[in-house]
Amino acid sequence: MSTIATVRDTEMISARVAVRRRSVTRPLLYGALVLCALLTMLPFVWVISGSLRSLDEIRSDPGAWLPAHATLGNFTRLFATEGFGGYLVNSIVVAIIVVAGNIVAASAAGYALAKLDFAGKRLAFGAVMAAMMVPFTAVFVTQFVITVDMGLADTLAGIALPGVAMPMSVFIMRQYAMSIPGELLEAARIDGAGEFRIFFRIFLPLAGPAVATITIMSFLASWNNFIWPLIVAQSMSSYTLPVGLAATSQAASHVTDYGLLLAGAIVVMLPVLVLFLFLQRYFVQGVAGTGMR
Amino acid sequence: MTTTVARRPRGSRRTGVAWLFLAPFAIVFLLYTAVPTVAALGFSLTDLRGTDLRDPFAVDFTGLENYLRLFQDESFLRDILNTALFVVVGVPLTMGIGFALAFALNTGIRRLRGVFRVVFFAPVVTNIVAVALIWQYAFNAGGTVNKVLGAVGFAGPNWLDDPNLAMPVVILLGIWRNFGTAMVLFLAGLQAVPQDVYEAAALDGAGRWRQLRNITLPLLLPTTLMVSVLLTVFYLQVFDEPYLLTNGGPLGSTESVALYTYHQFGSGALGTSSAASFVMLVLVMLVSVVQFRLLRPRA
Amino acid sequence: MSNLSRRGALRLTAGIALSLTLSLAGCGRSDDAAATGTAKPIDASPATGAINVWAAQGDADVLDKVIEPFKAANPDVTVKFTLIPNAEYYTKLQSAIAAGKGPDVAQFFPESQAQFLDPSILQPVPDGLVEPGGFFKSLWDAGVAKNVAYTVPWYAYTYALVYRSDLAEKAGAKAPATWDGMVPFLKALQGAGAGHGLGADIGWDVFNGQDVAMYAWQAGGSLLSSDGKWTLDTPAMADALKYNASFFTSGVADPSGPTFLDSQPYFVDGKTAAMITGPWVIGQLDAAAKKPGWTASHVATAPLPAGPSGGTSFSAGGSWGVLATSGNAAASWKLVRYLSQPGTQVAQYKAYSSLPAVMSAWEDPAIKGQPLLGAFLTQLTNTRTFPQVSTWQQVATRLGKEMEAVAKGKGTAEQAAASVQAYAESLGTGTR
Repeated sequence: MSTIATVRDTEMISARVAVRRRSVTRPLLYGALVLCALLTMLPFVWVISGSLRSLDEIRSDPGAWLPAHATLGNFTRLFATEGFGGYLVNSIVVAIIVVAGNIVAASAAGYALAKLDFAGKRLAFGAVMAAMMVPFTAVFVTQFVITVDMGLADTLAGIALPGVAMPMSVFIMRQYAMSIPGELLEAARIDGAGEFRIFFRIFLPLAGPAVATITIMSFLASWNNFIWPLIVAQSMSSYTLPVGLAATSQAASHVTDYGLLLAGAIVVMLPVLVLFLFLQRYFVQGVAGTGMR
Repeated sequence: MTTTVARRPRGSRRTGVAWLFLAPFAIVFLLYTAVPTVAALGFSLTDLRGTDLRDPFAVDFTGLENYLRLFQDESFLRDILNTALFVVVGVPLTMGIGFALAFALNTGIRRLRGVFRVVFFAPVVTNIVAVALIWQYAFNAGGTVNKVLGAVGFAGPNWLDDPNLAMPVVILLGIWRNFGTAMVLFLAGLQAVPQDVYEAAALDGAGRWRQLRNITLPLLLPTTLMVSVLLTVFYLQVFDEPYLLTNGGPLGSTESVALYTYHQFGSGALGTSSAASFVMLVLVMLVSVVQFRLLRPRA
Repeated sequence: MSNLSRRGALRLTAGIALSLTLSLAGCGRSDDAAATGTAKPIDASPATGAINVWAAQGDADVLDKVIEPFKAANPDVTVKFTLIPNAEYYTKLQSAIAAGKGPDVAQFFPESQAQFLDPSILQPVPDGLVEPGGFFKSLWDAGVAKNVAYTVPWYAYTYALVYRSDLAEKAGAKAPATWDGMVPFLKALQGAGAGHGLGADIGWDVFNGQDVAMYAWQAGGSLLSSDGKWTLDTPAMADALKYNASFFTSGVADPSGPTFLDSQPYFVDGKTAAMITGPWVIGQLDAAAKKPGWTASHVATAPLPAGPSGGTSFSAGGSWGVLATSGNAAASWKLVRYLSQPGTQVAQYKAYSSLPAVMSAWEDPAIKGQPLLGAFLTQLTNTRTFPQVSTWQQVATRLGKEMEAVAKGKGTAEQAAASVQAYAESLGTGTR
């Protein structure tokens, strides 16, 4: 596939490629990206603006871009909501369980499906794909019955368990693993390393981008999950954040407190964005950095 | 002198270990997917209502009646078409935008990558209820979109009230929400392409577009397959966007199969709801199998 | 280690599916065991133990405070409230019932609770717990199935005509008493300066279906015959659909607006001059107008105009039931009894503006002194319950969607009625 270049040649190539890239199209590209970014952000302007307006102001002029009288009232009311701290803690605990489970369990399954040869492999992969396609509405009642029978109703474990090895995570890891060359792993095997050692010490460090993707996706799924935690909880002390906010967001009968809703939307969004920011460098790590022989 | 001992090949089959790796997933799968799915199949063959579950064997077995009724219901058939439209238009657009952005951020520019990544991923992360509210307001007859159009001389229609225009708006919301996911997945996939491959190709004189076509895209096939399948599976079950924007209207032009199922469940019709879910499941499976065939990496 | 061959896997799956199917085929619903109509009467001793209450977020937000006197009089009881988001309330309740793990007391909505009225789900209301005649009749009836009462009404609402009294005065128009007067009245309001006479409900869902059902009653039709057959394809239903559509075809209402956020601002600004809505708006219009006292000088209410067969409306609100699985039925019923006492009903009104389901509570000065509520009281005494069958919600939703087609001129009323009838027949009545 590729001719093997000497180290010096490679350096020269990089320099030349770099020069070629510094072309006129770059500013245009930046411009296009900025435009896209602005368009993407447009709805957020409203969400942020709305969260800083009082409910009365929203009702009397819903379409305005900027608040006439910016106020932090929605946020103070949000944080003062009875039980808010508890909802937040619940969401965090559930998310940690789910993410940990996905990083280990789903990665392991995806790795096995991609890199190991074994009996029943096709069946297992078919099961993963099928699991991804089963609609939630078809299964959640039975899932709840099972949860109750296991004694996990109204517990955070009960909320977290179904999401602890998401088929999507398995799928993502499998696809990514397929593009990692097998020679490294074979070499380790020949050297006598056990399978678990290979997985944890050699494969996982290489799989940075996939692990980062799985982390953010499973965190997102868990953090924004609404119906399932609502059903599993038997008392408000087990509510996660989205459920708790929905259960306290009406100002008066038959009226939704839009200001509170929008403030809640922002608060719920922030941890995921922070996590995403934190995971940024793992997205750019790659096989490139491993010094392939 | 060497003796050749007939040995069992050290075997590339590591079945025991492999299933150990699979064990946690397998347990969760059995408990929370396999059993409930089989149960749901059973429900769909009865006239079960939500209240019968505590004594499920005391309901009437109705065979395929639920399914027959579904396929005789015009609105269900229409909903399948709606969902198909959403997928056929939404998936390629979402993938295209996601890939373009991932490629631009990966190779096109150097600075501010992190910022752009966060900005483009933000829609994935937002609370759909809040965003749908905003969207509804923007596409109102007197909303922002029409105000902007009015400024350049167009009289904007009432988007969400026109059976022909509501779906495009719903699709637009879906694309806006999800292109960030596609971008992130493609970004991860692009990382797996080693740098020296590009460099060697450049050494051979290949231009940027050649590199893209002959190196990047082929190597990206597993990722492309994954994004395509994930998005399709996701979009076939689309619920939030039509529910929150238009609740399936106007005149049912945006109602998806998932929304139909939800309405059935809310009325306690568990048998019908399960049947509709199964139809959706079968559709999803069929489409996925097709995709796997089409996008299979040629060795 | 034997491979699970593909054929073997298929055989296994087929086997499971077959045995499951066979076992299901062997069953069927047994004939009803008649529900015992009476339960042990509840005495006057203090309640003890724990009571778990589930309620939809909204009117129940204030319950903890409203029952302070109850908690004081029953020191040995702990009442725990769990508030559940409105839109998912029934979903959560049904899942809990399915899994056998629910609360002691649960809130219900009279207009949609038929699916729960069964002894396997709810305990029958004990004899003598409450005085059925003290409630608005349709609210009490909404909890009765096969002559057994399962729920006790809590709060009530119905729809009435809420309109701009200043515009009506300007136009010299009076609230319409019959159907024929409705469109002219709204046109007059429009003439006096409103953009549209009516700000109609354009959700085209189950709420519209309920409206049409109510108009069908007013036109002399019924929805379900006494022997349990759907009677939706009738001239009365067609008249109801045409009447509702006339708001749009005559131009006094816009089939695409105003939407949720706008309905009150539009009313306040005069873009619309009337709404067919519930009593909650009365307390909210001042805020929308940003002027205290605006409502008193600009708004009037009237019962809905009568059709050929009268001005019957539907009743809605909240109700309470005690689940069959409850381990503390005695205390639970005592709480329900407390919530239905006139004093508590008034306290609930003062805390949240929930209108009482108990008729005598309306005599309280707090309510009697609010002139705009008079129309709702009049209307509440002239209400009926929707068909007490579990498929009503689905049928009503379908009716709402058909109404949209008629309102927008995409179908005739007769076609819509026939279509709903066919749909309802295919669903049946879900009775066991």
